[in-house]
Amino acid sequence: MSQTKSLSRRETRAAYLFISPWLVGFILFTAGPMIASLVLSLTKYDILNAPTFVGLDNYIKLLTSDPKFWHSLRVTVTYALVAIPLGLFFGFAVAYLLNLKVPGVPFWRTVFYMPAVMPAVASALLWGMIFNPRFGILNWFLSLVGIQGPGWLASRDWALPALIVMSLWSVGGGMIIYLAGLQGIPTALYESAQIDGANSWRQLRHITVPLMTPVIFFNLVIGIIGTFQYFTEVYVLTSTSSGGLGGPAEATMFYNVYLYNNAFRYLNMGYASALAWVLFLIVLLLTLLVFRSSAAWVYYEGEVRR
Amino acid sequence: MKTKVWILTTLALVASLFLAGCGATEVPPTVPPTTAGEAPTAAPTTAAPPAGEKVKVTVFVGFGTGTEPEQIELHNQIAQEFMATHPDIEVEFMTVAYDEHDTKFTTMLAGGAAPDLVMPIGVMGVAAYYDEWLDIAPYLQRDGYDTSDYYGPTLKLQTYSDKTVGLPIGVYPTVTFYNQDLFDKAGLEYPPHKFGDANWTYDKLIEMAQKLTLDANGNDAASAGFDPANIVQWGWDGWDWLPFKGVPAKFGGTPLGVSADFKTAVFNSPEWIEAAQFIHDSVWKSYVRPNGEVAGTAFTDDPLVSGQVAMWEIFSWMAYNYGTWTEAFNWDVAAVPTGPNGHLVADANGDTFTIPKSSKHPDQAWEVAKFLMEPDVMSRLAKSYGCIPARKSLAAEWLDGMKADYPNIDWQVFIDSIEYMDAQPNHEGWTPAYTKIWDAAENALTLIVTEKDQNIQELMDNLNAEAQTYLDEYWANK
Repeated sequence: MSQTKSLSRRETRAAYLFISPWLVGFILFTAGPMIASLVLSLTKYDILNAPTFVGLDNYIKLLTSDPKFWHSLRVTVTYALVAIPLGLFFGFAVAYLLNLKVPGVPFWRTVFYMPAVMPAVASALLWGMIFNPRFGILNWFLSLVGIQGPGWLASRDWALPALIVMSLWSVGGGMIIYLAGLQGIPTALYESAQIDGANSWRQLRHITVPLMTPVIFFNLVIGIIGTFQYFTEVYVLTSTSSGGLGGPAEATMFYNVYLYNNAFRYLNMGYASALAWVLFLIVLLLTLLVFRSSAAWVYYEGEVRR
Repeated sequence: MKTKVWILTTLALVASLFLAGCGATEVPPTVPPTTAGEAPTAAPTTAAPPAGEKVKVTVFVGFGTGTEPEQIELHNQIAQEFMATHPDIEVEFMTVAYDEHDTKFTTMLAGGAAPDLVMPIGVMGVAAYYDEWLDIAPYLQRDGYDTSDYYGPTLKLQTYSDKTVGLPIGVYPTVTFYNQDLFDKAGLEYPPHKFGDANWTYDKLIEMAQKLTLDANGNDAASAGFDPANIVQWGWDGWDWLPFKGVPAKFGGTPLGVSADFKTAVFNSPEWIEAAQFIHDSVWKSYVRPNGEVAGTAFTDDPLVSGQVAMWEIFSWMAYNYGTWTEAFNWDVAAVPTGPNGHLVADANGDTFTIPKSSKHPDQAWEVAKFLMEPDVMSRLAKSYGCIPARKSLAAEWLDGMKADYPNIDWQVFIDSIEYMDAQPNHEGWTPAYTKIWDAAENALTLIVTEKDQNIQELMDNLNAEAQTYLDEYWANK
């Protein structure tokens, strides 16, 4: 009796020992800073002087008397509402096309996936040049069909659409997962559907898409988490010489950009920490909603539905 | 077993809480500058280090220029020269990349390891950390420092109502750079080089610029058939690359946009509105200035280099492109025009040194600073940084040096400009909520030059309201 107890105890201890590097790292670099940030969100802290406790003031100010908070949220949500569905759709579409046994699939797969592995800063700089209203190739292409291209990143109305277009360049990341998912669908299903007289469209609608819902679900959650943290591209493309961000005139003031401004330019660390926690709660809420809803539209293969 | 896990986790979390809590040093909050002049603080007591012990002075370089390899070399050489004559002080120049200077500086201060000297630093850098700088007026008094060789305005640049933060190394005044080839093509006389010329006002400049603003068919902006949708050449790029705050002084307003007691926003004062309207009209009415989208994207480098802009009012730190301009076209410099009601203001940026209050060796830092301000050293630093040295006695040497590189330019215009600079308050000067108000002003400027149908009064009222909330917030927390 005691032998099994001590054995299980030894095994548990060994287990903790093995994961202790990760545990230490997690506590020092993730959990610890998160708790520090939570504590700081209850203070007023400008780095140069010690923090002073202000209770829930930061949160109250955030929700009641900060129009820029709502503006940045609006910008982020607008971007998310357009970029996520487009990303899901195009990722799926490209994967579906690549799955149709076209010649040179490995080549196309590489071509579409490559942008996803390029560093964000490099591709942002590249797109900055493409979007140049006078010398960029995008407006040149448009001029070939007689359209005078807009100011893109230099225009208040077109800066956000420019960023959305830019985000579509990296659908390759999701595409790879869709491709794996597509290739996991048993061909027997397609064959039996064909025997029953289903055309390609019905096969797509009744077999492919339902069986792809787990992948779509995954990409949706990842997409939400990613878009709400959108920052690097905005930093690279909208930085002005005086340090301004989110231009022109706050058209691209994403939530994370506003957080950065508060933390590192206005030196309001406490307020920025409060912003960070509110963002965490928002993303958590959305993710939970998606998880909850998944019961209604995600079909796992082999699952028994009551 | 479960209890053990809980204890372990709780201990770890509590430990990290403690780690997060400590580390920030306690620094007493300071009062912002007030209008009433305050009595100078008592002369600093010289705490001499124990005999034989060397004091190390760290010079923080990164707030502006000074980070290029040749400049680092120059700094090290100057450090050697100083240490040869000051055996008990060791000098080390710490060079930080401009992008990282804010984080590095704040971290050093928060960690109790403040640098002893910061240089070169501009007015904006001084304003960003205004509370951190030591008042050097007591040192100036104690040593009977002779400031007569400095241009008066350059000294004023560092002298605030409650303290003097440093001495000027050099300045970057504004002048009107103009492309002579475009003037020749239009058959126009070059603009005046003398400041205060009765015929050189901004209205006259707009008139001249209109004849130099051409559409794709060669019609100028003053002619009947001018097509504003197809402009290929602009007469004046205005105050492009200057902040919005750099303009209202020319119309008699305060560049800070706030009242002298820093409590009321005045962005919708008549002078600010006049300035905003003037900028708006120069873009959308007389068409002499390219709009925001074009100015931000159409010029591959700076506006002049493209050869599409005839005149541009900008700082002398454009020196980095003098060579490129010379290769592309013939150019020269003219005076800055006089604004309405006779206000003649030529904006300037300036480099100075500062001593952080939390430095452990301010006396020694002051000794290093005095050495850097000596004519020979200042001359070499100014040449390396590209600014005009702040000592009048160095003007002749500077003129000769510039003439040797670019013989066709009227370099005296730069020296003349110094007299008219916005010394105090400077357009980069401190205000409460400095960065927030700066951002708000720049956003307003973007709207003025990018969107034709902006209602200027409404825009400035909104800007004023926003700035007022920041000011109120600042004072509520004091």
